Amino acid sequence: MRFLIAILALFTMSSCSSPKTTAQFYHTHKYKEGVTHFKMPGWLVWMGGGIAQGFVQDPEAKAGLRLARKVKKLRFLATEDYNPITAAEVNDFVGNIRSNGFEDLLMVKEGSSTVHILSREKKEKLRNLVILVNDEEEFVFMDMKSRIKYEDLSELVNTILKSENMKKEQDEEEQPAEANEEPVVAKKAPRA
Amino acid sequence: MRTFIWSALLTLSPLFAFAQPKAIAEFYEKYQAYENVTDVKLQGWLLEIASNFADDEQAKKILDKITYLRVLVMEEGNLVSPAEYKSLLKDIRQSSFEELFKVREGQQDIGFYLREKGDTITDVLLLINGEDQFVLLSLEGLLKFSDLNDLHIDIDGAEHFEKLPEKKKDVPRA
Repeated sequence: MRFLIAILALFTMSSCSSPKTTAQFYHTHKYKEGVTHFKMPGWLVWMGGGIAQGFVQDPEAKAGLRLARKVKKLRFLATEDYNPITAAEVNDFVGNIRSNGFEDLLMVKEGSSTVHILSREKKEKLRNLVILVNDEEEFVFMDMKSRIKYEDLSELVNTILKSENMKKEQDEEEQPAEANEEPVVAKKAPRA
Repeated sequence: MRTFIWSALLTLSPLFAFAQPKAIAEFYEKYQAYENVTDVKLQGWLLEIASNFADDEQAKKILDKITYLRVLVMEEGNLVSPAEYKSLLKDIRQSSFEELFKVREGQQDIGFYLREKGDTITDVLLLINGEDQFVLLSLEGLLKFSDLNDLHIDIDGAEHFEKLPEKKKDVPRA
């Protein structure tokens, strides 16, 4: 009797064998045919962001790099022209991470293409962000661990908006200035 | 015997992890898997960030009040049978939604449903059922009735929000 129950338990547990964490999903699929993968440690992003900040003048880019320096780890999978990862595998994975505290921020499904953006937060910080794009011919998976605060994201958005408003104002100033300029009219040189 | 019961519960526990969703959520989940169906869901801080990019202050103020948005659209034929449509309407009523109004425009039935807490609208449903089209739009947030006709969402069916009056008492009743 105990043997039968143990077999039944094993059977039920094994049916839930799809990856339960983002790390498991990455390791399950990274060596599949056609899959490009890379992993970037946080210190490299931090260092690269720090170096790039010294060369960049644009306020939007500077704000983006400040945010990038708070990324702790980045994992990336992508395929092009061929997708060995099925929609069912993606859906199972999304279901598993939802039950592990991830929340949907965005889900778009059109035809056979789906886009998922999910996040997990802790103490008002964006701890994990997962982006999944799944198509018949293409697949993208990005898994990011960070210590980005929501106020950092708001700051980035405000910097972008401020920059756009300044550009609009500059364009508006240039247009009236051009309108106020007297038109150049060719004049005949007086005869001697 | 007790050991047997505990072992059985332990064995079946993974199945209990998949809890039953609400009736309307179930409807979304059922149809979103179909090929010719478009499903869009947006919530949380991403929605807050999207509101910052709104064109005018009025739109931004209203988007700030929305916490969840989901739309299911079928444009290449309506996959919802008449029986399933009736069942959905029954589920909407049983979920404490009030029918604001229902009209027939051409070959389509258009219905607005609200759920309120005092003067605040917490849930809005827009349902369009036609021969070749079906739209189910859900909004959650803390809205006033006068906010609804200022909702300019670029989604099929959302243009019907603009036809709503400023006050709930001005809504034409059949």
